[in-house]
Amino acid sequence: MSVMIDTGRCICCGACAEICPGNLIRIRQGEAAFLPHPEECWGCASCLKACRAGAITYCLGADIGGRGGRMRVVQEGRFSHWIITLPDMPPAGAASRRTRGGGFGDGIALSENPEISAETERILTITVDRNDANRY
Amino acid sequence: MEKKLLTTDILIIGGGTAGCYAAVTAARKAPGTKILVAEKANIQRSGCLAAGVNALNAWLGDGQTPQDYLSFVRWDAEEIVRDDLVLTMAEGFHDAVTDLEKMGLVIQKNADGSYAARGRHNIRINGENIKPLLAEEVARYPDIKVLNHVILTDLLTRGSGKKRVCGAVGISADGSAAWGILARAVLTATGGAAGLYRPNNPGFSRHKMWYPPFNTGAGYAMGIRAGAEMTSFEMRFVAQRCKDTIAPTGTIALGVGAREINARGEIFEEKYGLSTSGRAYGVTEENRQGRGPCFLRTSGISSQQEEDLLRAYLNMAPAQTLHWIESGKMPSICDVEVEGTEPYVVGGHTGSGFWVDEGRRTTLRGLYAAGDVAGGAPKKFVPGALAEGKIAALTILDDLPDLQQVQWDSIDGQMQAFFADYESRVRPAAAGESSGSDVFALEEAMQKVMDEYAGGIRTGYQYNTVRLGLAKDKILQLRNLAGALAVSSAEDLYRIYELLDRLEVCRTLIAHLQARRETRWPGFGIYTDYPIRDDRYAMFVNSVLQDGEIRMIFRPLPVL
Repeated sequence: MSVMIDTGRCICCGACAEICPGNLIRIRQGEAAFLPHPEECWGCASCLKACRAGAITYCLGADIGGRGGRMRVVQEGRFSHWIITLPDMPPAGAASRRTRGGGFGDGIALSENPEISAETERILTITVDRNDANRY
Repeated sequence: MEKKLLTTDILIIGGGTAGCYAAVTAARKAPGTKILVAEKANIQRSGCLAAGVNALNAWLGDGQTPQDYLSFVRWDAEEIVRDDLVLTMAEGFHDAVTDLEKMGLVIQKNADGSYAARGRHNIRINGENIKPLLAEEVARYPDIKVLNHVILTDLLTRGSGKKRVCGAVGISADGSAAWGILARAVLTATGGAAGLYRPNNPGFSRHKMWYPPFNTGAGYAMGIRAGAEMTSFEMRFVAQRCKDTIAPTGTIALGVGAREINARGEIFEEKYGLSTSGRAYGVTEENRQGRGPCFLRTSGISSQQEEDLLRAYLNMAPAQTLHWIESGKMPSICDVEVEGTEPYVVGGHTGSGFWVDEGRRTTLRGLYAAGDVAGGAPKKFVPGALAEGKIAALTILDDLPDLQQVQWDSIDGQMQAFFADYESRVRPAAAGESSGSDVFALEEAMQKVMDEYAGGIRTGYQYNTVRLGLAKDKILQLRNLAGALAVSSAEDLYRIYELLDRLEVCRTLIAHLQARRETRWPGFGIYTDYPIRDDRYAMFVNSVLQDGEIRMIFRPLPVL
């Protein structure tokens, strides 16, 4: 697991470099943040939460089953909207629930905020409410 | 390299769970006491709780007493526990957790207002923001100064017999400055040691969202080098985790009651025992006997349960949620494959760490330990780390009147030697210098040695006397190579010290594995020359580094 920084979106504020628990993100004056060793990232998502520009996405390496999906998080008060963008085609051997319709992923569009949820075949949103304790 | 010198009353090394709570405790109890927290990253999101945590796994529910918790821990650790440490820790669970709730932590409640349990010793929370909450509490006290992005490498000591710890030295994470800090008391709360062994996924996904790979065993290594007594390093921890993401499994096992099954669909856990070690052993053994892979049987859970699991992991290990969705193998349809991790040295799960007294004093005067770096008290989890931070802080306040600040000039020579070492290791790469022995290559070499010769994943956690002897030689050889390491960029300087710390921990770990000639925790390691539990070893295996040699000390268990 690692993160990717979109140099076009980065506003060079340094918030990600400040928060990274591994001091893995570096920033030079006026330049986009960068990750010299993406393989050293442990996937805690602290930088995603700190980034105000939405420039950082989360991904899985191919060595643990990643196939190009990306995850980002939009925070809105006590709600965290985790937005997952998937490649067009469902993976081989996919066994997703199909309880709420036909397409892959329909059962996991959990957003309670329709403005942010863009429910298509490729994008799904999971919203977590900070005031809810985990049931599990 | 700029030199920065500071003095404080209490220096806390590591701003994780234990360190932050120790700082808060001291500031509340003794206003005016100067407290300094040195943190290698930023206390907002550093340490084990960076991504969050969705259960507190040390709790006294349903009329449970600290004595009950001790019985549970003693059973789980096959007797090798310090009663005094576990009891004093468990006595602190309630206050620590209610304090966290006051800071704003969301805890699930029953209708009567009591905390909702997830098993006997667990309560459910929304802990995504647990670390920011702790950091916010730290910020409320003007007596606490936080130095983020400062990596301390060594303790400053005085005296030769019973040494007195009087401060620490280190570097800024970006290599721009060297720090010298004098303190009347030093609390080490650095966490345990990850990254000693070759990981499950040695390539791109080598690090995992569970135990921080940035916990390099620095606290252990600093203590070892200063001559502190260590205990139970041989009680390594092998965690059972979700395949690939290495996300925790407790949320699935306890949350939806999923049982463990092998490739034939057989439930096997009763065969191996339900202790932490027994569960880990079960998976390893089923694999060894050709009945792997193993799974947590989640197929058939309801859609509501599945959605709750997806959310729960986002609050703790987001990779697992993405993994489910991206693979399309949702837990209600497909069972979740599990595997064991490489071994860790971590005193919050098992008993490895500083040998401390009930007040969390180490064997060095002026040095205290709390959280994963403190030994003898397994199963701390978040509440235990908080409780230990509090105990250590209160002990320090008691001891402070007898701990005078040393004078700068009395420690200057020692400090300058460390500073000279920092400066000497940043230099341009010589032409033609091979990268085959750079800091990354040596780290990989260390992990390979530990994996193959000191009971890593490759051997199914097995080791024997011959292998351990080879491991010792090879680690010493790597240490010699690492001793000469330099980097061309000051930003990479701290990596050399992380590697040296890990090598120091490996060396001590090997000596402990050699000394305990039995197999007490088969899930954590099997000494094939001594493959069964032997109660002649119902004792603590401790060690001290003296004149460059590791001296083993065997200490009896508490009399019941």
